[in-house]
Amino acid sequence: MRQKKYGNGKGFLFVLPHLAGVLCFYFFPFADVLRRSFVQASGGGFVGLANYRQVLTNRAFLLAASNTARFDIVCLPLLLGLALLIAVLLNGIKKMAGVFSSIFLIPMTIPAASIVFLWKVVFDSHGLLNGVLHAMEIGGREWLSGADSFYVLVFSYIWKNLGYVVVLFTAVLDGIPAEIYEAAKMDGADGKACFVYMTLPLIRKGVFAIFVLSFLGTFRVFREAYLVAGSYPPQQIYMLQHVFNNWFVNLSMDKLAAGAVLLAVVLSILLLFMNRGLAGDEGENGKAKHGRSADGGARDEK
Amino acid sequence: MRNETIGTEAISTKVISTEATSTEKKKIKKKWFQKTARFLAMLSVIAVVCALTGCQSETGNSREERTDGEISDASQESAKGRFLESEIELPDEADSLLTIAALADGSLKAVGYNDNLDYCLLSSVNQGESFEVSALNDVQASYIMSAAIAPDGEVALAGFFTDEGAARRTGMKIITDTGEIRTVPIQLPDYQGKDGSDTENMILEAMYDEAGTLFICDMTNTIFRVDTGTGVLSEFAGQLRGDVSYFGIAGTTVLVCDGFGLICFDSQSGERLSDDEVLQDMMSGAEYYSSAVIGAYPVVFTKGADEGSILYANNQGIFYHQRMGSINEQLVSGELTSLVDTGMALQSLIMLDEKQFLLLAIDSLGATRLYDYVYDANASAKPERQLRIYALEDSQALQQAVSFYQKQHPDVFVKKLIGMSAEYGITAEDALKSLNTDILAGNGPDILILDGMPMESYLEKGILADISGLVGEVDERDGIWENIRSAYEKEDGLYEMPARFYFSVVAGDQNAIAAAGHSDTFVEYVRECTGQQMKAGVLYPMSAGAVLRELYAAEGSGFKNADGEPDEGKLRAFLTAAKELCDMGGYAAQDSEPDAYHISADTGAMYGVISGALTGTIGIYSIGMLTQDNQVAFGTLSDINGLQFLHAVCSATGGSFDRFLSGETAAFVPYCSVGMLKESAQNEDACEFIRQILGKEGQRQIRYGFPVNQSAFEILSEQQTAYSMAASGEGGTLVELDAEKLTDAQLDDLKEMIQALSDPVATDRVIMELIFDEGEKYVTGQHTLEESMTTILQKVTLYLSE
Repeated sequence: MRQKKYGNGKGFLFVLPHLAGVLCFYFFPFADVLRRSFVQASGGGFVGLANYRQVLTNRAFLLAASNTARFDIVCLPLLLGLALLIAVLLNGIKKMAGVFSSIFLIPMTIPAASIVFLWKVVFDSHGLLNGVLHAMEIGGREWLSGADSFYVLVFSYIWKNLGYVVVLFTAVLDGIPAEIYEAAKMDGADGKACFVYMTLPLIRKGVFAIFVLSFLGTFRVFREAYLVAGSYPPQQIYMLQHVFNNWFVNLSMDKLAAGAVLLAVVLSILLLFMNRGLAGDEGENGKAKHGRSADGGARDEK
Repeated sequence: MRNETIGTEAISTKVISTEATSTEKKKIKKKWFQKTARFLAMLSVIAVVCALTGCQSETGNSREERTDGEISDASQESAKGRFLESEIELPDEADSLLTIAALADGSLKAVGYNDNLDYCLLSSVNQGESFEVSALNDVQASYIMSAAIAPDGEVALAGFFTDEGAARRTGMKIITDTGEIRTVPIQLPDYQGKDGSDTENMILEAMYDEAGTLFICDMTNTIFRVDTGTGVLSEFAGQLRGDVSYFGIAGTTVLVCDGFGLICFDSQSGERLSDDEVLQDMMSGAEYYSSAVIGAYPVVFTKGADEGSILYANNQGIFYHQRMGSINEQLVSGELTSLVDTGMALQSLIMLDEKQFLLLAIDSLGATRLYDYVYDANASAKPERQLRIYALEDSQALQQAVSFYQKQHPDVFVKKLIGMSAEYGITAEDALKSLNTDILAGNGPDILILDGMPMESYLEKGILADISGLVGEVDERDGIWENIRSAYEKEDGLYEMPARFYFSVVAGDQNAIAAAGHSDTFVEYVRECTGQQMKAGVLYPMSAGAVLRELYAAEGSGFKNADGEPDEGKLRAFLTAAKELCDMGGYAAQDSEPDAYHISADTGAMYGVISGALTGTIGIYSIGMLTQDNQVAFGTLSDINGLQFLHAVCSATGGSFDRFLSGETAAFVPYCSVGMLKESAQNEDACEFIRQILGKEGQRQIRYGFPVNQSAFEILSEQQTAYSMAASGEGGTLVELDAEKLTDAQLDDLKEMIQALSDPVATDRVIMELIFDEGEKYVTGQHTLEESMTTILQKVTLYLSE
């Protein structure tokens, strides 16, 4: 049984180089960050939770955290909903699905710097969009320097990531056996019922993985925001990465470390909850299945 | 049965044996596997450790390469032998030299002059230890542009001569080795200025080759070979790709820089020699252009000891090169000598022998220097002690300070680390991140030049050392402006101190001065004058950026209230005043920049020799008062020369001047602020650098800004000289001006102004950029005041709250 549980160690060997890398480049640095979050920036004197208190009362951090949360709350449902809708539609039209998927992937291939240039051309106060609006006798707006910059960023994120998420959803949908749908249809289920009672429950585990990828992807939108508006963008698009970046420039390593630890904790808790919520039952099912197969395995051995 | 039993036992034993073998095999396999796993695990760990060590040493190497320009190793560190620099003192009669040369008999000969333009010949038979001076009164030179000395001692002088009974004219005179003076009847080709007007052609450069043949270059950028007997010119060096920037001679090789690179000619045959690509590669872009100083160059050449060899000196050092050879051997490192000052213009290079060179140069302060480089076999190839000085941007002040320190401490290698680089597109933010990484890794520099750095953050983090003791030492010895020092004193110490500073002044009539105490009354005054439609414009037309920067220099210290929050009222007033002043100045995008003004001097030095007299922007803006292009000018005053100029302008126009916005602020702009990292507090070299840059002698080496050291200020006040200059306005009006020496009363007034300064302008890069970027949008009409105010306040608040 012991051998079964841990295998024969070959897997460990394969994992070892990667594990060493993770330890060296993730675990130990994070341990150092954890240490720094309890000490002074200079001198290294222990300050207890003072850095955390400082961060949690820091207006810039709170603004950035709320902006990041707001961005996630707006973007993720929009992105996942749109992508699922498109994936279901593509799943229905088998002929050109591959072509459409490729078209949706094009924005991902454009470098961030080029996208930023494109956004500047389109969304500048003297840009294309305002030109069109003026031609239609609708007043132009400050798209990049005012409150609207948030929605430009949301649009930018969804435009860039939609294709990728569509492809992921298409793969998940492809994994559902067609026989199940045929059986359901024979039992009289219509398309809506199939989607609500069959597709959604069956893709829950896949949705969790896509959610995690998309969620982590929202933090990458900093590149675009930084390239468009620099270190101090309009307040609406001042994200956590801005404040971390600026703290590093100003050598505020104490705050940076405490902020990073807080973010890691919040993200971990959030992902755990999401895991339980979206993939929990699947997990349980998975465990049950694993148990059955283990039993089966035992039976086979016998 | 037995057999059966035996057989059964045997079978049973066999089974047991088989089972045992199987278990053993499994055990052996497991052991082998465990061993292999351990071995592979060890291997992985070793690999990771090696990789990390490799990374570490790689980082170390790249750092060393980046900072030193060469990969250092133990053998180099312990190597011995280096050229050491010292300076040869020039005689009082000739504190400036035009040229110096080694004659065939081994003696030295030079042409020099003093402040009164009394020219003389200098000769030395002991390699510069002492000079014999003979006046050149008989030459009747009013201004000599260029001088050349042949190996036999013949001297050629080109410039302005005033022979008895004749008008001043340009020409050339020869002083033969026997002392006979004769005029060379040279007929230069006609020359037309850039604007097409006829201008008298002149000889700008003159040089002899090894054979004693004279070569000159005139204002048409043509090189001629001169027959000194008849004055006949023969054109030399054809096939050039552009105008001649400058030329040099090494033996019988004429090296011509035509703006694209070096082309070599044989001085005797005139034939073009094959291109020397290795030598060409050593020329940086800056060396393609001529120096701003006539008779001085970015690179100078001379003949080496071996046949076909060339020695040359530039900002990087002194090099040996065999023509068409594959290497340039660095004999003297620029980084370890005064050559590190990139503002230095070179005049002559002499090789006395293989272990001694002389280099004549004009430093960035405009002073003539004769450096002596002697090989010391016992000196370590590279100084063992190192002082690392970091600045976001390079500046002449820093170069001058480093150069002076290096000269005073040849046993210390001063490494200047410049964070921002236009060449590699490194922004200030990138540079600061890199600096912070170094500081956190314990590899920070010793000295920080804090201009543009997040000073408040550094103070909060406690990374800077308290330098009050060092400043106190200097204060006790020389005196430091008390008001400037106290502006930087914190409760627990002093962490930064500017080496220099400047402040804003306003010039105009009495009404303008009275109104200029506050920005609102000043704007009102300008508005009234503009409404009266006087002949002259009221203000010099300044761009939005220029107005914002000038106003910021005057009141950029007061944008934060007592709570450290942005002061909305002051910011609003600042932006409003900037817009009104810019609008009333009538600046249009097609207007020329201030430096487009043509400055010339009746001394004949046209290309910027005296441009140092116009440091500080008030000089440029107040020229318009002279030429009646504007009535009022405001800008920064940064040195004694600028003050002399301002007094001269006010004297000519009947106006006066005062501190700008004196009723609102007491602001001054700090320049070249120094601080020291806490870890370097025990580094005596770093402490010495602070003492020196703030000390009397060190302060005198820096050209721009008023010194914080009072003794240095007194010395500079005493050293001032009168000068003349001419300026032409936009309408072509030519105005001449004599800037007299300042009287004691005028100097006292200046001291009074300086003593009234108490608030350093915030030089925090982030705040300045936010205000200037958004302010410019408002001033140019792209944003409304409210939009700009909202944006600035939001962003500044965000920055301050971080």
